[in-house]
Amino acid sequence: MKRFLALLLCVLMVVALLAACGDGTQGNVQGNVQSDAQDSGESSDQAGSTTVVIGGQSDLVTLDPGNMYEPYANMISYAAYDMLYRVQTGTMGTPEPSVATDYTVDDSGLVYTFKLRDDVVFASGNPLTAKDVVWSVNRVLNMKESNAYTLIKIVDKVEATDDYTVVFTLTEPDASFLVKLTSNAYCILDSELVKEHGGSDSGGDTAKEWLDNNSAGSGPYIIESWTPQEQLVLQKNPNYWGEAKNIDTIIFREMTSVDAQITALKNGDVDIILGLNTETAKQLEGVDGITIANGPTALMTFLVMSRDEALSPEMSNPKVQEAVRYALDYEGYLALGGEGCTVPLNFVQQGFSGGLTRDLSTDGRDLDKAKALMEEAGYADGFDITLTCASNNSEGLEWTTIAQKVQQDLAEININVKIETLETTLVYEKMRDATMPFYIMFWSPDYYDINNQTAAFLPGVGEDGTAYGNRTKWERTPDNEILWELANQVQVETDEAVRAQLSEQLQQEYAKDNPLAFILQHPKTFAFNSNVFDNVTYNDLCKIELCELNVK
Amino acid sequence: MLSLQYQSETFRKDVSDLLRYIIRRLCLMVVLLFGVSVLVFLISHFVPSNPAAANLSQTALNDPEIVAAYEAKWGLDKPVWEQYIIYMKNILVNHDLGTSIRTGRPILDELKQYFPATLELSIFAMLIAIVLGVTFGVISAIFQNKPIDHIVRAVSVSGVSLPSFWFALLVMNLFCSVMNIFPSGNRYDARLFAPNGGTGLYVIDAISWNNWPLLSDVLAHLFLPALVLGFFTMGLITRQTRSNLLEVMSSDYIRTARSKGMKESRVVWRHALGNALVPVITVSGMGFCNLLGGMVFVEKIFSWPGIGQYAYLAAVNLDFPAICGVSLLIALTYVVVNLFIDILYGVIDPRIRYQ
Repeated sequence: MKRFLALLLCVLMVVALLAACGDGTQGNVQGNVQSDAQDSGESSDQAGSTTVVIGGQSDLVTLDPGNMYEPYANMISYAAYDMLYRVQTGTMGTPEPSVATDYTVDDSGLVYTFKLRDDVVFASGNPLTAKDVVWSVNRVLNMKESNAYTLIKIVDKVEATDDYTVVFTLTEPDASFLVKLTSNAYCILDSELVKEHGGSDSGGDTAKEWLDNNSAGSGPYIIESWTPQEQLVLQKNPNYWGEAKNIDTIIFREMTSVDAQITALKNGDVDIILGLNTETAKQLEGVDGITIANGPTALMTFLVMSRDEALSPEMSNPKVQEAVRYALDYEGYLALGGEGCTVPLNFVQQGFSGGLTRDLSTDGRDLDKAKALMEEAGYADGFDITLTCASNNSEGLEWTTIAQKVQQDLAEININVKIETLETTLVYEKMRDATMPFYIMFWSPDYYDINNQTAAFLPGVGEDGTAYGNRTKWERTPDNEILWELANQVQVETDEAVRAQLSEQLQQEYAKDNPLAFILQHPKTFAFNSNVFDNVTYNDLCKIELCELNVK
Repeated sequence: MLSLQYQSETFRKDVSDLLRYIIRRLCLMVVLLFGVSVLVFLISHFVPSNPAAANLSQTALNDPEIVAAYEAKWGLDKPVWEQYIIYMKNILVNHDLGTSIRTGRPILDELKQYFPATLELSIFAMLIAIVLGVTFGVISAIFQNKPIDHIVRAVSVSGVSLPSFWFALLVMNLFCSVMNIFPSGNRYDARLFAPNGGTGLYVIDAISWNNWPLLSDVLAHLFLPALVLGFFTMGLITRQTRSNLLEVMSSDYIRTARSKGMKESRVVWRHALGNALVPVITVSGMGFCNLLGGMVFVEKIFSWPGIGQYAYLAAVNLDFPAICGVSLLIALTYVVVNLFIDILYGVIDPRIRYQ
């Protein structure tokens, strides 16, 4: 009897567990059989519909444009929503008109007036008008705890003067305003639809939960379903106002392992993979029907040398810091980074206004100069220093590999580097506390304009360790005031040619003295099935440009 | 009549013993979960970092207004003890585990999404471990010191000594890349199925929906991660079964059974194995709990969207509510599995009493 009771209890526990997991609804089976097309490595085509599968690790945590911030956020927001301006294909954030046809800005640089297209409709069938733009902007303006708010807080007020005219008044002149307009913060939402699901433009918005599983935009695709860390399904928007592509369904699969992505691409389970780097891409070299491609990114890796004498009297010396820049074997780092890597002169990457690369023929490694600088600084015999390195990587290039190369390079000028590897979040914390004399770090912008770089890298910036001026204890002084003067001009200059010139001048001045050594700007490596696509375009804001995808 | 009365009294006593035992264990469980919540809350809050820095962009961090709004929204501006009281009040009064700082979704919804994936994988890993482990253990004991015993022992030693990430990459390369007979990751073919409701245990869902192509696809996706995850426990069970069976086989009652002319297979399966399996159940229970430890690597390599990856992301983003939610769930799983094992003892061995 006791055995019967015990057995019964065990069965009940299992049944209760299963019942607790379930919600009683049925699943959605997309198809019962895989098509022959997939087996032959072509995109799946079931009952005349075309499905493309992308494998990668997105770390998406929300699909609400007002809350998005993650690196892959704009890949999805560009597929499902429109903005007034969008990033031009294949560029690093160059804005081009989308829903807006053109704009004017007044003499004060504060008032921007945009004319809107009159043929844009949302997926719901509602027409997109100026009131939707105003509502969408005001919604994010009232979400102060959101990352998206940082890009929109420059807006003092936004008004619709008629159905197809929107006027933005800024709090201060900002030459990067058009670039900011291309981000997910400025996605135009179907205000009527979102209001029905808790949306508000005056605070207390509760539409996030609905927007995490649906879209309310006018982009070429609509969000069909999303299971975080599992997959996201986009369906063609039947009411799309622009030129439609020939793909009906795009599935983004979360694949946390690069090996799994590579195998899945080889086997035809996915059509595009995003998680490659120079090393792992070698596994796909020469594989029939697979193309390996590179796209430029704004990610750069650099060495940070604190000016805090208490941390290291030797490494904080500006002459030693310059010696380090001359001692680095840039050609060697380019070889480590692989095809598509460049060496930025300093804090403005290629693709940004006036971005300069280091001229390695005249300004590359120069050990004689480095040794002379060490002697001038009084450290001809060298010194010992700890290089802190997080267990992290830049587009797959491990920081420990970079650290070993730095150790080897600096040994040539008698700097004895001891490598200390720590957990990433701990390094970030120490960085904000400004307690490391010498460390490796990377940086990528929050928006694609040089104003973002100046806010991060100028002397004195970043209270409480939020930017590199404060993190390195590099003070703003009359000697480096020229950097601030130039940056202030860049901030408001709207003529692109003049702005690029100012930017170049700023970088040349910055190169004369700074506490950083910029090593690499990295490319993004990805691969696709060339039986399915002729080409796959990439830009760093949207990653894969889903709107441009067309199957053969 | 007397016999019926005796049976009825025995039944009442058994029920009463069992209920008393379960109530005592449940009381202990509440104390344990409370302890876990305090410890996890304190440890995670004293990590030298802060969630605002982990979750806000650099531009946002430069803006005190945004940082203040963020900290106010998530209650990070309050003292730790006050945060803990609010957290516990929400659990006890509203049955709410809070909202994830990282994703903004309710923790309960997230656990409901990720836990079934891990549970399904763990159950299949245990099935593989127990079936293979017991079979190998019996074979090894029967053919003691024969070549097959050495082979089985080598496999079981590999099971307990091979790092799971290495073994995972090995089987993925062999079965997915070279032989192309199993999918390389995820829980199902994206072109075949889109998850929407059900239990989240896709094997059960596929059966309940009579969707046999889906069932075969889900099982194909389950096999390799379950094999990798169960390999360690299989090694333990093989060794345990072998040594127990060898010990039991030298017992007097086995000698008696043999002397009565009973067939060797009947002696092993009918008389020896039952007794040899009692300690194996303990090992299996511990093995199940160990699976949760190895889950992060296996889930990462096979892109399995389970609780291991969720816990990892919660930890690196200092998502306090998620860290606490996962910790409570794992503690609860440990306790329930152990209770389950303890009750199972009674099924296997009638001499064991619930006291």
